Amino acid sequence: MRILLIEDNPDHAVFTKRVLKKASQDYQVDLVNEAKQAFKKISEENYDLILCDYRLPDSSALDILKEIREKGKDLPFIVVTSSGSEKIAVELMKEGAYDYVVKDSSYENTLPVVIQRTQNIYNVKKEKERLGRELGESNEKLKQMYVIKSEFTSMVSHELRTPLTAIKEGIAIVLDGSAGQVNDQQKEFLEMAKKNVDRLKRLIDDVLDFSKLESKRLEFKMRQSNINEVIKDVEKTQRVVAEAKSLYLKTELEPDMPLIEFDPDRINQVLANLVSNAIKFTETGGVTISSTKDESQNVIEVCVRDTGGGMREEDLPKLFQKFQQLGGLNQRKTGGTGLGLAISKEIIEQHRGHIWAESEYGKGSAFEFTLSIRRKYKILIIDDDRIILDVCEKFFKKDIYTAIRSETGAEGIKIAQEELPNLIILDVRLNDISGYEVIDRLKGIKETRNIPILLMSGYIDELDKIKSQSEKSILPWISKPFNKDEFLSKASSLLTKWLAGN
Amino acid sequence: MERKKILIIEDEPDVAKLLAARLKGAGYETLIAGDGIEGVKFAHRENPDLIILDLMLPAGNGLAVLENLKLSSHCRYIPVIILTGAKEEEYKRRAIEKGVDAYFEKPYEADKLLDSIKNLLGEKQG
Repeated sequence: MRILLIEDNPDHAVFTKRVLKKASQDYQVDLVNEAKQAFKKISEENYDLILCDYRLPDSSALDILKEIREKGKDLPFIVVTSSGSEKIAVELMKEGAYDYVVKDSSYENTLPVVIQRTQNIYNVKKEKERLGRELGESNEKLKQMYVIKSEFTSMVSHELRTPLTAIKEGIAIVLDGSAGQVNDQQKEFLEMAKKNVDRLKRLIDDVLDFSKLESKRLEFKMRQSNINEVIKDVEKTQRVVAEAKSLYLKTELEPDMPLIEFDPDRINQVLANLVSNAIKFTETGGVTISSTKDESQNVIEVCVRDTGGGMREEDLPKLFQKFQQLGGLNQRKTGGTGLGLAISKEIIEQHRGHIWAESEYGKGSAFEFTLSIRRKYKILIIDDDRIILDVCEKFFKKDIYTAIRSETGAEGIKIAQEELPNLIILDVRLNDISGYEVIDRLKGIKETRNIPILLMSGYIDELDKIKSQSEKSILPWISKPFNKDEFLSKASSLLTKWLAGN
Repeated sequence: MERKKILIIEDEPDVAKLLAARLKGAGYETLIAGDGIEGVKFAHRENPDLIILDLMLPAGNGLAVLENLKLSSHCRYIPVIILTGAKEEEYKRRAIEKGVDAYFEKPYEADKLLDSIKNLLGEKQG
């Protein structure tokens, strides 16, 4: 280990050299007695450690340290001080010195220990930096590999489709008699081949779909659509399959379904996947597809319920993961890739919806998904103070909000029933009835029961009451005066919490 | 000369049908079982001369069926050919350990398969 000792006092220098020599044979010590020489040495040679007296004729340890650090060298630097100068030492530590040693009676023992300690700290630091770099490189590589994998999957899928098309066409041409008359036995084999080519095409499409979805490269064609139309469509196509197994296929549709923005082909794909799965895993009874809406939660819900074998609780979490039907030889083959549910989950979640399954082993299963209705949130503000109403309205000026105002509790309740807002902001003290009364009444009405409410109050004596009420019934509240950010953050967290959680 | 009987244990109906057609064309009699349990039952009851076995089966996986056949005093001398879509080396190794007579991956080459069958049935005169 190469040590540079910067010490102007010759006696101290000799003493230190002796201590170092005694401590270890590996220490090679160079001595300089002023800063100028020190810099020259440092620029010419490679040192592992600098031992520097805190006060030098032409400079100070602090300046030397600063200079070294400025030059970008992370050299371990230990300052040697006389007792009583610990304050200086601490200063130097702040500037980047690794440690300090006091020239006192225990110097002989302390110095080697401090040197050892410094060495350890330095090594650990370097190791951390190295690992950090490696991690960064790994991350970059992974990112690249992911891109390559996605592109590869796309390319391969396209490559596979070309011969597939040729096979399909070849079979079709023979089947329709264009290449000569086809006898029954030939027809039977050709139809078998055709059926399997179609199956292969679906598998390739699944893999390609999933690859695109996973890397978020799939583009949806969003349109204002009616989910009931999609359900009817799927019912029509799956009817034959159900009938072949003597199963019923029913629909229970919400009559007043609003138009929602979604990609009808992709949601059709999801529903077809759920229904065909339901039919596959049901032997008696049948499948019911139902649609409902919950305006106050801003969602529509579709449920596919079957009377099949059901699943065990522990198998439910794995359902929507990719390739879950493969793995091992004891599998019920269902003729799929194991990607169907994973694809459905991606599609629904990229539509900002939720998909999940419930099941009772032996009784049947229900697969459900939700889609949000509106991108605009309706906020009802009930306060007798017009200024507050103006302020709140201004807060919700963004185009995803529509603000409705009311100055009395009674009117507010009426509006809530008619408009079914997504959030109600309610002052505790109103002209006609109390805010709590309003809450109770709203909770008593079926349509408004679930609408989240944010309580407001400007009166200090109200705050304790609200706090205690809110602790009892978990009522969110905010005190006036409030600032815009706090207000919007509370409001939007309420909105998202209710829309997501419920 | 009596026709040799081949038992096909395969749950994909199309694959089974096409394989059977191929074998019939080569002069064999065929019998199809759709799962492992039925397969073992037929093996004991129908006295086939050779068995073609798929690995991925509902109700009893192919390797378990193979083991069952090779351990039963009744069936152990019936040659078994495994025909599978699985590409894992692991399965091939375990099948060989359990005494399989030949191992083919799907999609199969018909000539090679028929050759192997002829060999195992002792139809190729040396």
